[in-house]
Amino acid sequence: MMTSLEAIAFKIISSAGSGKSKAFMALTEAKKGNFEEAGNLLEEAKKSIGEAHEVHREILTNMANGEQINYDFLMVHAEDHLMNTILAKELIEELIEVYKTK
Amino acid sequence: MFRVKLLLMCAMGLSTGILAKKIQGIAETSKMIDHDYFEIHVTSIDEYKEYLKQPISLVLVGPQVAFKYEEIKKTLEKKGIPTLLIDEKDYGMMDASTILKKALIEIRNYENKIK
Repeated sequence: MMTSLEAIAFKIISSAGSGKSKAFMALTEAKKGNFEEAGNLLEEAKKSIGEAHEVHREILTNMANGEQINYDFLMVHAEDHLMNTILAKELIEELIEVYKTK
Repeated sequence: MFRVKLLLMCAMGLSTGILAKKIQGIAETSKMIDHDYFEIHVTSIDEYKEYLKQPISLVLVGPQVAFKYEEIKKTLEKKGIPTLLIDEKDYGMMDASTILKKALIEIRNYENKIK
């Protein structure tokens, strides 16, 4: 049986991971000059990242409300994915702008 | 009866390791799978080529590395190994039985294609 925290971690990993993938796909399209497609992929990336962020925020809120959370390595790993993804998305957004003005 | 050896791939091989354990558990109770032959391995995107020295029926790719999927698929196609991108929802829910089912279908489709 899947514990709820494990489920949350996997939701974060999966959404953040897919968001990162889409952000990189957007970069590939921008490199080819397909800025419209790049923009669409970036929007999809933001949506996926938003889903991961939402789940993450929920745990933080629960924790702030005094709920005891059994934090394990899987959750650390999930956060790792999320933070990497957010940074990748920010940088890719900037890079796409650079390609646009090239 | 399916004779399968699966290879699961993600960014670092950590979360996929947990998924692999779940798939292993389901495969062990499945009547559709040859248990003596069945194997499941986990690897990362940087190390997967190491695993291709042994027989692999299908490579499953996690949604975290979807942006490298086409590249991986091309490399593996040359070696005659089919690939499948794990659905984001299936992965997020850790739905091992659905993932295994889709993997078996993909293997069957590939076998029919090369016949």
